[in-house]
Amino acid sequence: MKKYDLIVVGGGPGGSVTAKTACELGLKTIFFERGAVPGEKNVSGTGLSPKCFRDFDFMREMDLPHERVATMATLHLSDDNNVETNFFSFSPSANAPYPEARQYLTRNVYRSELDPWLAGLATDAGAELQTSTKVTGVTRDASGRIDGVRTDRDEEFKADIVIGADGVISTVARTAGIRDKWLPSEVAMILNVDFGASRQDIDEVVGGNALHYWYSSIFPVGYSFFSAEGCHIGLGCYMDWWKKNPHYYLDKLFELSGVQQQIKLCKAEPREFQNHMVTFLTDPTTTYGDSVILIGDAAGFACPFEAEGVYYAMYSGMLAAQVAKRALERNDVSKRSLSEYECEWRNSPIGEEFIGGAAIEGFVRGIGFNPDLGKWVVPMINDAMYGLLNVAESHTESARNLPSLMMPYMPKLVDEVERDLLPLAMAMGEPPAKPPNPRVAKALQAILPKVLPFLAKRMAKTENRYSDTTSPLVMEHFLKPFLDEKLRQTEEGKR
Amino acid sequence: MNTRDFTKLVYKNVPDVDFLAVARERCQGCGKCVVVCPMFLWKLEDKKAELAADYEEKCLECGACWQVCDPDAITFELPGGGKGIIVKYG
Repeated sequence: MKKYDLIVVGGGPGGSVTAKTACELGLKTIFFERGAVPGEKNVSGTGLSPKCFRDFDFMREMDLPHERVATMATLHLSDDNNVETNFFSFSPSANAPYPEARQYLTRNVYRSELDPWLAGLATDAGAELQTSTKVTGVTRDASGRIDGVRTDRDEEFKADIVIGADGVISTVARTAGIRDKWLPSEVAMILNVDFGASRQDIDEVVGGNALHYWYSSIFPVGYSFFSAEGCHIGLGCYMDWWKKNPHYYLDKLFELSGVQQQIKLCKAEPREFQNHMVTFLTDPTTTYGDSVILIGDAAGFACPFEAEGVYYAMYSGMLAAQVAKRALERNDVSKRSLSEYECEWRNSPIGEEFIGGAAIEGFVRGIGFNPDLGKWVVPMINDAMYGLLNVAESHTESARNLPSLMMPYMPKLVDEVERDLLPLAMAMGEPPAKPPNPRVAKALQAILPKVLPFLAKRMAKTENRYSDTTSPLVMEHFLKPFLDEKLRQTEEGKR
Repeated sequence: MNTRDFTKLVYKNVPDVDFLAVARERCQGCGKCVVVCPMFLWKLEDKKAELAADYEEKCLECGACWQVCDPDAITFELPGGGKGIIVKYG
């Protein structure tokens, strides 16, 4: 039986950062990984956000062989017949608040490369790593206090604090009695097909435009994310959402001509089928207990908007190690003492992400994962673009027609703005989040349907377009003299 | 398009002990496990969930069936250290 200051269960990015930070703070630390090597059990969307590199100095040293830097993201919209109708792209803003955010959107990597590298940083810092070891649960002393963990090799390891970095299914959280399994509404399932392709082909076909989202009325938002020599194509949704087998929706995603095109042009070959669950919570409430701190997905720290997990796992791991150090110093590892952890994460970028949690969930469920909505949102966005840019009529005529083109969507749009967008906008304000003001919503509902008919009427085609659209001032001082002069010249020419 | 073909592309160090099971007496036959499993390892027999005999070779260990099982009829324990799914390009 070996004694440590800190036991970390899980060798993913969260576990490794916990172990690294703990060792740097002088704690004797061991971390356990179920796979033969770290990263062997993990699937992810591949994209590391700029936040990872802003907040962790060591991340700036990252140099993984199959990384692709994403400098553009594209959202593709498809209609009811599974035909792509639009796409929009964006790139980093030159006015973004810090250098990494100005340079790229994400750095796309494989967990099979990231996780071993991070675990190596932890062992370099002095942490002990035991791989191919499954922790079967926490152990308790005679008084019932948690004092370590037991492994499937029938070994026991003792420590005053155990960190649960063991993902969605977290054995630590459940055996420590902190919580039972998540509710189906708190977890999402994400399916991936990994493809391999040559670096040159991907460079030529997508280059830095390495994040493609596929929005549809038929399947929940899908994606194709590119790494240096590969691509993940997949989709996911809340566990309580699936009405048909995931392959039904995955088939539809793969039927899209845009997805087919990417596979074909990159000459991509399928390499691996993957499926995993991620937490998708509005507000994590079970993040610690007596002698136990949970981090990453075990705590429910995935972003409620896009389910980004690695950054939040790493950040919560760092905080957990710091809190553990202070708790050990004051010789109090009770739940009350460790409640400092919740104060820490709520006042960090993790807590920031959850301020609007419920409203974000409303938005994600209402729009991102609501195929019924796609039935009108996709044509609405299309008609707005069409109305502005088509060449089927004169641009003046098109501009006049725009309000009436948008009219049919207004009742649903107003409804949606009120139900999901307004609460989202309100929730992002100064904490504590305020509930949406019903008067604002009501006013909006009253005004919008009136504004458009008014605009339509104002811009309607009139018989005397010349006098109607030209202001008297312009007419008097500019157009009239100009026309008079022209008339004079013409008459002079005739003579 | 049939993405079911991709399910052959799974790498495993096949576990030698059971890690997934259903308690028939608790199963209410809702069929949610059948719906969510992307590897098609569940079916309903006499309104009870039944697990494929060769599930150890195919199961992705995602825990989806366990997660959606309201009456907790499905028990799931991650396979032992070094065993089970090996994700090469995760």
